[in-house]
Amino acid sequence: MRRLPLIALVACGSSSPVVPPIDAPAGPLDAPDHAGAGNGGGKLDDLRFAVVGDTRPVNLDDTANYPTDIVKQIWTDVEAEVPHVAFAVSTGDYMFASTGGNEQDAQLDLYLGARMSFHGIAYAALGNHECNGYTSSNCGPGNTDGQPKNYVSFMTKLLGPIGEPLPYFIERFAATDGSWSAKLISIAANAWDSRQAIWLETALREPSTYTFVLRHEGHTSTTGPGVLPSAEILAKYPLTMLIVGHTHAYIHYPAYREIVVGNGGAPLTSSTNYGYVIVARAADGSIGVTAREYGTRALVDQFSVKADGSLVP
Amino acid sequence: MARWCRSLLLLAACKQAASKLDDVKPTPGQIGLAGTAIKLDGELDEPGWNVRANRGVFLGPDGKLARPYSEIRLLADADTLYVALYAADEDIESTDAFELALGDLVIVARANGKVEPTMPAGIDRDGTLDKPGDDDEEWVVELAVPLSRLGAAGPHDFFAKRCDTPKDRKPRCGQWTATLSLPPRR
Repeated sequence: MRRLPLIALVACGSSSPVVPPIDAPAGPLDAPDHAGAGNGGGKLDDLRFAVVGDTRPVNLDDTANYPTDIVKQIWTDVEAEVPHVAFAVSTGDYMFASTGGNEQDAQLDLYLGARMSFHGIAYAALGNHECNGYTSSNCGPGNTDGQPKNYVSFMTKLLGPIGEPLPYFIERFAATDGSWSAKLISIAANAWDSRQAIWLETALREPSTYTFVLRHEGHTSTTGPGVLPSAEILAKYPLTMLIVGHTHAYIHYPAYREIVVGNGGAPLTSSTNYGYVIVARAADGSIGVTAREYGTRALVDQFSVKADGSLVP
Repeated sequence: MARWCRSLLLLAACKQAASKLDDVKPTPGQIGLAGTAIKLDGELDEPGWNVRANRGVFLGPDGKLARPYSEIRLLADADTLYVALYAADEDIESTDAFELALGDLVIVARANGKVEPTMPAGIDRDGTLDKPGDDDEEWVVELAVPLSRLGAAGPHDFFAKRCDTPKDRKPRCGQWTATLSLPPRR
């Protein structure tokens, strides 16, 4: 069982917000003690993971035209990467389904079937289409838009298998030789509330060499309920990279330490093609980012950042 | 008593016919039947748009999928040709437009909602108009073209084109063509 810091457990269970003091003693990141990436994270020889973006079809409830072939090709390309990635993350919007209809499961089944081309664990972020479709939507118990079918299907089919009971979560990784640690924090900006805010503060305080944050909407989508509040929190802590989707393109925003990976099959909004990104730690400790086009795996973009997110010259 | 009974039977028969229509795919070369009333709001949430519409994806000059993505869908009823135009667009501008040639009829449908020549239309935008600082997503135009403006049942040559200038400021175009007939009139 993954061990959570006691303070975090107290925060999650209590009705009054409890924020740990800023100078609380820092210990090593408590990564699960199993080889390879799994539920909760794990011990890795190398830090190397893939990012795949939005896949939702063009039109509402248009399951017949779900971009299954494109999605399958992208995950096939990810699987073919050498060295093989330890895990993958996905940025949200796996469906375009009316909350009053019944297309949610069918679309997610198509997505998951295509994703099976990749043999590894994938940590999935919640997108606005996994709420009610509007960028401003806010789902979850007690939130404005409740728990529609879209949300429930996402929780069941994408987060249930990785052992995450909440739409926001943290995965902890550590090098098998103890030389680095990394935390992956997935923010659910369309399931935002004060509990998630408290949790985020606690999660960001866990010491790690690298901090990767996954969130569906990027910094430009300020109507997402959790975008501005989480950005305010993120600004107070070390951040290696913010990985987002929502915009159906690949974009790098160096000033925001942000990459947009929304080109997983959803209708493309710019000139970039469908594709994926590989994030990998180099021998010097820098983090390399490589964006590739699907099918041809042609290089689209490549850059490196330091652990603090600043660009390597 | 008999009259309301006959009304119920007629209602049941109509519902059965409508549900059967849900399974009717368009005949190749022929525009699909709308089946239900179409609300011109750019939402494309009537079942016919997914099930019975002719769907065309725009291609670029290289013959591959156009980027940004565009598509057209067509439905018809006894009096009207319904045209849905979808534009994925990271920067929606007032100057963004689809150009359509439906037989001899030429139509320009703009992202700001203006359609030339004037006809019933609806638009839905997911994004802001003329604000390049943010990232937009898409806009959809629904047109209701009176069949009287097309003349004969066809077949007609259909052509659609969209040129867009994404944030990299390099204009890109995509287009679609097809020869289609209107559904037979009862």
